[in-house]
Amino acid sequence: MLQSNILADLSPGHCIKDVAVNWHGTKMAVCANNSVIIWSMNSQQRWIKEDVGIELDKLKTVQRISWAHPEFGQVLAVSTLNEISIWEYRSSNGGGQWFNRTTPPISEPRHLVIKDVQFSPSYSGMGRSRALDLAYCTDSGQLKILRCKDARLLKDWETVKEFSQCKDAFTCLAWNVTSTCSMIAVGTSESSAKGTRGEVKLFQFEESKNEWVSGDIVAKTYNSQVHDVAFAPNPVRSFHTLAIAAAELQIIDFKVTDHLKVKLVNQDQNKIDHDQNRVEVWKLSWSSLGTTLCATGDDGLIRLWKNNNKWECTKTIKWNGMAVQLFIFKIIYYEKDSIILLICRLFCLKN
Amino acid sequence: MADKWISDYSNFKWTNSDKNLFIVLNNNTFTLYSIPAQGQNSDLRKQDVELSESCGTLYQRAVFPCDSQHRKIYKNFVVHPSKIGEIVTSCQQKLYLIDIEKGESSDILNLSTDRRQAVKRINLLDWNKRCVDNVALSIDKFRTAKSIHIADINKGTVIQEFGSEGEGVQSMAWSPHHTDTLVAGTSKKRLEIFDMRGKSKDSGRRTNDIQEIDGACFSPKYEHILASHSDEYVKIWDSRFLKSASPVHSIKSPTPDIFKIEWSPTHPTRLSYITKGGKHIQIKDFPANTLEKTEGDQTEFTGVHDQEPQHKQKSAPEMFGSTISNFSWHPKVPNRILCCKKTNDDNGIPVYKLYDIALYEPIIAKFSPCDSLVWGCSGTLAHRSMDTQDISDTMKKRIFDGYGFDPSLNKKIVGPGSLYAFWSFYEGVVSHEKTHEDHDLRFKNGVHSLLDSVTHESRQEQMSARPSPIVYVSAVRSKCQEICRWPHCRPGRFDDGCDGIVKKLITSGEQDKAVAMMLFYRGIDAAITLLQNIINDSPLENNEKRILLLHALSGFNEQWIQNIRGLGKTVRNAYQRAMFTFLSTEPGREDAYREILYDRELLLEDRVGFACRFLSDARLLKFVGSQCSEEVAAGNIRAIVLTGLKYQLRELLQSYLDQTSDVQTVCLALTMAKKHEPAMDAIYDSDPRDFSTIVMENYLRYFDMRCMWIERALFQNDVRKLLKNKAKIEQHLYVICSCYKSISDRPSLMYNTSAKQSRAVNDRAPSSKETHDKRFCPSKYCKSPMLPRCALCMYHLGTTSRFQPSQAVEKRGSSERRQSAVPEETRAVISNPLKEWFVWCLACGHGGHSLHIQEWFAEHKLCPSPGCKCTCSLLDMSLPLDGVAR
Repeated sequence: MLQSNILADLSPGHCIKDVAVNWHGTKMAVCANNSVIIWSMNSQQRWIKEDVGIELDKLKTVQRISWAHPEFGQVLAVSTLNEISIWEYRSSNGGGQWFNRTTPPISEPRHLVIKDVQFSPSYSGMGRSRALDLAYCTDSGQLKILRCKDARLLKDWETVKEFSQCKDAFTCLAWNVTSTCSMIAVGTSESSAKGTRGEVKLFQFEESKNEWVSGDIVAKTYNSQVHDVAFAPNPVRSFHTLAIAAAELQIIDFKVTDHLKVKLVNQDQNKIDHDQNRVEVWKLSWSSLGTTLCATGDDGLIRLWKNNNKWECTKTIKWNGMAVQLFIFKIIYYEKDSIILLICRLFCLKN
Repeated sequence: MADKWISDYSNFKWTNSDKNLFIVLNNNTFTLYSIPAQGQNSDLRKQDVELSESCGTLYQRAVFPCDSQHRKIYKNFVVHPSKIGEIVTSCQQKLYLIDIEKGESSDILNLSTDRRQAVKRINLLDWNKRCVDNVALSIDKFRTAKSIHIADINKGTVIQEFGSEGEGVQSMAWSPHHTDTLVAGTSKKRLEIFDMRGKSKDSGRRTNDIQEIDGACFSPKYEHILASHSDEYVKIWDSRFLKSASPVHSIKSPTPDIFKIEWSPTHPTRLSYITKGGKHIQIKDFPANTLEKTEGDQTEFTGVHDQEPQHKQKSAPEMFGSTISNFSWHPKVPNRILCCKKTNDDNGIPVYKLYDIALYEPIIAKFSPCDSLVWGCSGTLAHRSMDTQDISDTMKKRIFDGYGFDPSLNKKIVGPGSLYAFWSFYEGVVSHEKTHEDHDLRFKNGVHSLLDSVTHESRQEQMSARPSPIVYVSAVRSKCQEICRWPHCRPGRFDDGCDGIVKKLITSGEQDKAVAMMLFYRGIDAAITLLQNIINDSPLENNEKRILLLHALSGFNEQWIQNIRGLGKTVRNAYQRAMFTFLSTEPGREDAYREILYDRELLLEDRVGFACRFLSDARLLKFVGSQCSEEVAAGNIRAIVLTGLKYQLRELLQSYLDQTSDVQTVCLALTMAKKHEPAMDAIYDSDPRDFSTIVMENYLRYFDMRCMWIERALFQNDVRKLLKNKAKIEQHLYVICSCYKSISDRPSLMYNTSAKQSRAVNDRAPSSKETHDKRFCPSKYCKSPMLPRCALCMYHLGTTSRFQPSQAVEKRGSSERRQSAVPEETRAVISNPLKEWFVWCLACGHGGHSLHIQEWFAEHKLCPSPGCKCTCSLLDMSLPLDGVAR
């Protein structure tokens, strides 16, 4: 039986907002409050905390972090509520240090909140340019793709494309770059008197026009906004797999046909075992070949999903051995620091 | 009592202990309840903490029946900061101390004794947490009285009065950090902090008029931080800068009428509040760094978060018609909330229920590329390696086992199953490569392609043995049977090899298939004989069913066929079932053997093999065609026998990949297909980007991601060898003397774009056979012929070896290297065969023998070249070159 081991217990008042692991799985960045802590894996497969991390101004809170592909060096994008900064680790005399390379300009930073920021995954051997791209989305319905002009200096970033015509707030984004296509999925949140709903929008790179274009809506969520989206890493499957976290977990497969039209496939095989899918899902992460999905939700459990003609929960992990024999209530989590507890469903989880 | 009174549990408070006790004031009764610790008591199966005497959760109760004469109705109470069960409560003008455990009540104070004043009612109470004698109480707004009184409960007197005369108090709370500090929200829309030591009338610091303050409380951890609420706003203040009237944070609630706020006692940055009629408890985490202040830091808070637009709060969907009437954090257990929910029953009578809620922090979990899991939750970071049996782990294991371009080795590695059959086909392809096959009848073409492309007419023969069905024979069919590993006639020979194959099946444990095969080829009598032999040879316990089968087969005759028809379907074993079906079928019928052909429990190759023997030409072609498209779409990798290295192999591999993500097998299969059927990609790939190239890219990326660089290099060499790729290998680095002459031994590889350089090459190139002293520039006319020295030993580059030869490590061939790739430890032990290579720093241009350089930098940071300040070894540390992710 494999045990979960606790790497660190930060002092109370520190809340881990995001965790990012680099492409090789050798470095991990953890952000809590105004600092980013870096961990690296040693040869015994253990995570060791590094001495130097990133420390922002006291009054800022790091919301999201993202590693660039290691071929660009150790580069992190760190976003606070209304600012993105690019950091690079450079070793120098007497040890290394993180340097703030630049802060790409954000239009109207006072009136929007940056919800998510992600570097594009860069793959070697791609026919396309191997540029360093960064996408971010905001709660005012803005998606912006930036490109680094000079990956050595990381100073200048130009806007490749900006989508800002959307009425709904964006909540999260996910890149999907394969050998044949590039796309970004964005989760939205739309609230009305009836409640909160969400959609997943697809933005695609149209190679013939050499331009990013706004695509279709691939999924909708009810009773909740979209909390997270994640594309399964795609080792040349003929379709793309996208997981959507909302009031419940959704997994869809789709193909992109001519003229960038989206066509859902394998709908029968993407049904999700209902017994385990009754809690709100917050965060998603796929295993390296896109075969296992890890989803965390309201009830303090980490669930691992695998497809066996339908999606089945193959494993649940109680984090930190915390009690599970509890009454699970529904929590609605608002990204900006707050949790709303909604009493609506009661059931006893027997483990 | 329950009939008369509505049990209202909304007035409850935790006692300050970790014993899970709380006190409820209900119908003038104080009751002390205990509930089990969360997650420990598995008996607690009820969905709510039902408060009744029968429930067993009752701990102690004190009943003080309603005294109608004095209208003694308790409205409010406070619990003792440490003693369990001791509370102070008020009724009109009187203050009582009640000990629930003892069931005692005593009067402490009576404000109405002073007859000169009008009747004053006590409204709010708060027990000083640091000085347990003092209880603060507020009284009704009155013209000539101060609203806040501090009572000493031991002496039973009011020791101090605060507030402006005629100014009421709407909320009041002691500071948990100071004995003498009290915060109050006054009716004049001010937040005031009083200090008991001040003794003066208006000793407090106060805000300017802001808004009605409905409640205020100090943070349990940060001494200067306090929260207040008013209507729809929650504001966080720094008590030292109240006058500036700019709160540290300001939150707008989605619904108006906040009526309670509470800091979490265990999570000091967490504040929660509820609104009247609200259905949620709203919980807000403030970043700790905005609440902390370093000492002596006198800059004022600017209220950074005010600049941002208020968060667009959404109304949550209405699920039940219930509202939350009260809540309270457990004083010791993190994230535990007791909350009271009010619903109306069918008659419109409110029903109150208490709920014990566990609140989970959101967990941020991420898969690392090595498929271990890391997650952060609140302040905790955890890690767990997984045994998910994931394909990526399988791929890694296979790589180290030597999974590659040898189908028979691959077969062993994957073990029994459909991949075994897959690699068996490839094994056949490789072995047939050497034999001279008829051009049209190639093994690698696969059944479908063979039948489809070769026009033929099969001979019909009647099988000599019982039950004497008609069999079809042709060269094409024979090839197909060979592909399916079924008995077939070789050209020029009439022995179909059935006995050999049957023997092989028996040794590999497939007795039932062997018997069936015997039946199909040699008739029922031979099958019965074989069955008898099997029964005799194998242990008893496996035999029961076979003996029954033997009995059944022995009775074969016309009548038997009539009896058995239809019953054959009920046999569980697929091969036995096939035998019964076969025996009871009328061979002449159009859909004869249908049950066997479409029986999914039979292996695909067996069904095809059967079809090749017993189906007519037209039916066979139709059957194979339909099976091929069906199995290819389903991604059944066994369909390789149908597709061969032709037609639909790409489709088959694609759908197999869709199902399994096994990019490794697909990559190997495609590369081998390319070798054995070079035309395949050119003909069948319509994509602009070649499928096999994309697969190869992805497989190589897998190596890179897992930092298996050595294995990737070996694999790429194997690919090159397999495909006999003769393309020129690009040279990556060039070392040129200052005379533009390449130092390398192979001047032909010299980078020669500039005219000057090419001239240099052409003029001065010595013949490649000429052995020159490597210490010198190959050019005869070079002015500085000596090449650079090692910065440490000062010998020139190219000086012949002065080191002891290492243990023949340099001589290792690639095949040995492959094995050495398995144990990682041994690799580290191998002494460095590159110790005499010249290495240099790109930044400062100094270098030397790699061994010397390594030894130097083990202890030094600066470049060994005298006077050079370069920190060569620290320059490129960011890459994970040691392959730790393996």
